[in-house]
Amino acid sequence: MSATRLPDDFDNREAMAAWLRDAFPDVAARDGGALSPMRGGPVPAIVRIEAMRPGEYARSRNFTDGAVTRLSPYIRHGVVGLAEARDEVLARSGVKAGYKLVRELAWRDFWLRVHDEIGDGVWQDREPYKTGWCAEDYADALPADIPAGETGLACMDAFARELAETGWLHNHVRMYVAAYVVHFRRVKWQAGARWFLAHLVDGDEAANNLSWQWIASTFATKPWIFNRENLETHTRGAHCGGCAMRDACPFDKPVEMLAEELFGAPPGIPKTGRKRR
Amino acid sequence: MSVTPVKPLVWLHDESLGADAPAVQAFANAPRIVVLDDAYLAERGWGLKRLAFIYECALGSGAEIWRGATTATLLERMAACGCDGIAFTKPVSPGLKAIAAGLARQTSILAIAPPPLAEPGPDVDLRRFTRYWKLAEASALGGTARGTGS
Repeated sequence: MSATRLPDDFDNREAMAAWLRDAFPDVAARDGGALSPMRGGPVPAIVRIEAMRPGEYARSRNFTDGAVTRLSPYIRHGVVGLAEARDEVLARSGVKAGYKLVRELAWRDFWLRVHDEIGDGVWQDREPYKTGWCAEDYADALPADIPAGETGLACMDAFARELAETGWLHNHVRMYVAAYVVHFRRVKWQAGARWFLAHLVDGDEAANNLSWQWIASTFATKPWIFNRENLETHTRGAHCGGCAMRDACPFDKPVEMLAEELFGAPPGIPKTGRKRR
Repeated sequence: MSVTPVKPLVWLHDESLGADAPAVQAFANAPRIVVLDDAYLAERGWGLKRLAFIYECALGSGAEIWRGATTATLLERMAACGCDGIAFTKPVSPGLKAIAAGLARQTSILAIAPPPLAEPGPDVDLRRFTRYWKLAEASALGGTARGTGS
């Protein structure tokens, strides 16, 4: 089939979406034909840059209502360069207030450097699990109730819906979901990584896979877990109050007790509540 | 082919869809193109959310948007535009690297690295972020040393 030029003039976004659904039915079928509220292009990227508040980001980034930049899709697709984003942060806030945000940009630089070096090796465990379990103890496939948002856990089900509907999740939410999939459900991180990549508009194998490995402990010294107190705090209690499982929450224990239940007697204390990003 | 193109077609791939991508800055007046390749999209499992985002980026990039097999489409458009090679941002993903390698066997290419966030040096240890950051921090912060007490 010879190449064909595609249209570049639409009356509005919905007209573009309707045309894409018609022209690329196989693509639309993969995620139900939903549009992300995050629009591509240089203008939305500039809006996000102008909205950056690096100092507030440093203070609130771990909360789901915190001052995160939502620049990741634009950086992932090169609409905004990493160095350009850094320059914008430092020009607005200086080094002191902008330090945390620049450090987060550096995480992406780190993931890209690793990916550049190992290529498809991002799909392999970088190191053994440090959970007391070996890779063979983890299920290969993602249980259907997780992406369907039917676990019965209000938080995880809301996160799955948000991922499918918007194509974006707050970083702390990604960590909760990854820890739930890998440690609480004992599923290989690769299954979760594939699920995320199918939906995230900012997803790439570098940041996505290596972040999943960081949670799983195959690219870290310890696994990362959370408990209800951590999740409830950083989501401002948005999920727990109305959760049908609120009196039987699997996360409602001290971290040390969860670690004992999940990992037996792991080497060292799992990471938790560490403010990585 | 090792000859550097002087009148290239600029290829904006999915890691570099900006109107000021490095290859665009290097060849501001060159024709530019985004290629949507069904096989590539399928291999990545991308749905409409991603495709629409990429399409919107492409619309804002000043590039022509074409649908077809990536390598064949790039070579076809290169010839049609009277270009002598293809310039693009140096990719990281293995899929794009493979396409770039295939192009290099058939025409002149120029892969331009984006400005680095940090310059940790050749001895950087990528086994842990903290080790990388130790060497990258000063350059990432624009050469301003932090936490030195000075």
